[in-house]
Amino acid sequence: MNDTPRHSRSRREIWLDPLLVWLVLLAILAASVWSAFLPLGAFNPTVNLLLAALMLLVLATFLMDLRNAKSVLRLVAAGGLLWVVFLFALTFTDYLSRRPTIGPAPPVHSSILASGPHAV
Amino acid sequence: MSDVSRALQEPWPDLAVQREGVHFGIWVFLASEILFFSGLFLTYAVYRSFNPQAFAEAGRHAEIFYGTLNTGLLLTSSMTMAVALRASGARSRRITLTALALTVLLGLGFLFCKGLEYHDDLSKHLFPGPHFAIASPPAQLFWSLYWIMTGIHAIHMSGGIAAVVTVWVLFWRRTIPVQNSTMEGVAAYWHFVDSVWLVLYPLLYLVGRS
Repeated sequence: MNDTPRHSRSRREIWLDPLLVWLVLLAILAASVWSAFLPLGAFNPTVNLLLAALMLLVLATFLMDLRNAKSVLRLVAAGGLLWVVFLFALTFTDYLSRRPTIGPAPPVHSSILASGPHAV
Repeated sequence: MSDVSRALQEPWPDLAVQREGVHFGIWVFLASEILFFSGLFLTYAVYRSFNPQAFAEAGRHAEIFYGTLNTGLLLTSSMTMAVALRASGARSRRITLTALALTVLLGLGFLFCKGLEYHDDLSKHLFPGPHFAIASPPAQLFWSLYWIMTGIHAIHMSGGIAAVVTVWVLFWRRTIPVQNSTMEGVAAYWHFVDSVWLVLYPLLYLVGRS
């Protein structure tokens, strides 16, 4: 394996690709700010997070160079994200399924209070 | 001593294996960091799902100017870090050192802006407690998470700056050559810290703007 496969790059080549990716990222950032002020209702967070995900994808693919990474690295990165999916899926399965019980406690019926703690 | 022999470190038999080891090690570390930050993101998601209006009201008090400026600074620092990595692969010591120095300056600029923002937040009584500025109680949840998440991110940022400065000094003193695999580990960590901010930005600064 060649340890320095990119040693023949010129100064222009070194700067050009990162600069182009940087311009794309700034454009997505501008779109994020603009979209945040649009009256999209419940879709505002969705659009904001999708644009953030797009920025992450561009950064990881072109600046972190994951497109040229070996399979084992992609597996490790994907493994981390897989556990995040489990984390969110299992937690929200719990919270969303018992949401009606969250909040102020329902009023206790006066007959239960009158019967005392040994009534059950 | 040749550049190759100075770049090779124990216990690796050659540079190719060493490079793979650095890549694999840093990515295992980053995967654990992804899970660490995901715990905070999950906490935010749960509380926000139960208090959408309070989070929208609280989010409107965040300084979107500083948040956007800092996002731009970090995206620029990721660009200069990518240039440094490409220059190190091309054995261009001068461009590597220049790009790393720019990365450090942009990182310090981020922390400076964050300090100004914290000062503004404190002067507006946005630290949860008895004198908190927003009447809605769940708004304190948003601002607690704001201080925790941006604070932990700033600690990671400071660690990244220290790592880049260390590598810069090693390269400048020619202790190790610029094409050393250490550069790749530092670059991956820096990009990761920037990536965390890209998630924090919409969660903390773009909430409730419409």
